[in-house]
Amino acid sequence: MNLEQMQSAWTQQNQQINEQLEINTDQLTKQRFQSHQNELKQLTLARWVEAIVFFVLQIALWQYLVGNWGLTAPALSAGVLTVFATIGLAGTIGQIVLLQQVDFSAPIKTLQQQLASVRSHSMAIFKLLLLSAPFYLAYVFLGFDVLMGVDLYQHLSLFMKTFYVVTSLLILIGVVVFIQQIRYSNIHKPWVAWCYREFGGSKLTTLLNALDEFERE
Amino acid sequence: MKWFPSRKPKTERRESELHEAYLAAVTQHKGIIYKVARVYCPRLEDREDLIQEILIQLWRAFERYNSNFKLSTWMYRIALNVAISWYRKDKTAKYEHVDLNESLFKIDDENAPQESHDIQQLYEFIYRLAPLDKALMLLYLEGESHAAIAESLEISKSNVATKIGRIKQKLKHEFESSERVSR
Repeated sequence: MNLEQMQSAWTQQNQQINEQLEINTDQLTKQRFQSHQNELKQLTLARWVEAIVFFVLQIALWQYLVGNWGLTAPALSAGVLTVFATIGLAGTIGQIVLLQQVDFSAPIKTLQQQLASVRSHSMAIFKLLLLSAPFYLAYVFLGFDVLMGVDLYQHLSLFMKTFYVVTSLLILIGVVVFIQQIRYSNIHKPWVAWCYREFGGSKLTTLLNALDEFERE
Repeated sequence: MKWFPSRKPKTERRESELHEAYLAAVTQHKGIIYKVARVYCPRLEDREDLIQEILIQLWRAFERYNSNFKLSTWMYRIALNVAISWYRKDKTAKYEHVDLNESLFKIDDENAPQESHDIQQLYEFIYRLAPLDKALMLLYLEGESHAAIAESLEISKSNVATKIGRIKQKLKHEFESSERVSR
């Protein structure tokens, strides 16, 4: 059987299908789909919750900044964390917009790329959290000030300050190198594949694989 | 166009007209949904969910239908998009040769002739292709032109021709080896 013969067999079965297949229109009418909770709806809801969390975080950080304005370690820490919260909020709003734009009548490749962007959100959040790791002292300084009213930085010896600066710089270099490696073109590396599976999810990996497979030929 | 009542604010009446038109379109082109679901979903129990998801997306997009497209092409595109993004954890599932008999679709069993061996082989062969190649193959079998396939998939016409050529080769090889086994 060649492709042309296949095509004629296919055309023959079309008629058969149309004759034998009955669609349950009553069932379809009942459903009306209005209340159906499909996955994209759930994702949109999850992103809204995320956006609210980032927004509340922003408000709290700004409130702290306004009340403690100055060139102190806790205020600078709050500033650094505000930057991360802003990036997080912007990314989440971007995702909500993207989810609204998902159009299943779009050309197949476009839609699959859109869905891959939607699915890569948790990977982006993971990268953002990783990027905040070198600034771990910001959490410590701010935490001490908020919970105990102590500016920890003032109590650190020069040795400890130097130690923390060096550690943060080393973590920053490590994190940048690590994040640069986590991209789909490196999926053949077992640890990158593991990161994609664990932090991006198997749905993202499946979508990216399908797109890659299609483009490679 | 008879499928689509004129665009007015969405009132209950308009909604109902739209739903009527939708039902008519789905009924006329039910075969598209059946074939796409059958090719992408090997397990009968998952197929009902996929069909439902296709129907939902068709309903959602129905109001925005662009009459520059043939209705069947437009429906094919939506069905394929849903099916490709349909995610199954169990990728190793075997293809089941069972007729669809879910609550949304029913096969008239009384007069149902047996599916030919060629058709069964054809479904099996398409199922083994990569997700986007499945879409290309389905559109090709539906008799879509290379230009229409290229537009639906968003690739060049020459790329469509190359891919069809490769699938032809693969097909030849598959059928030859299956004949060898049956001998």
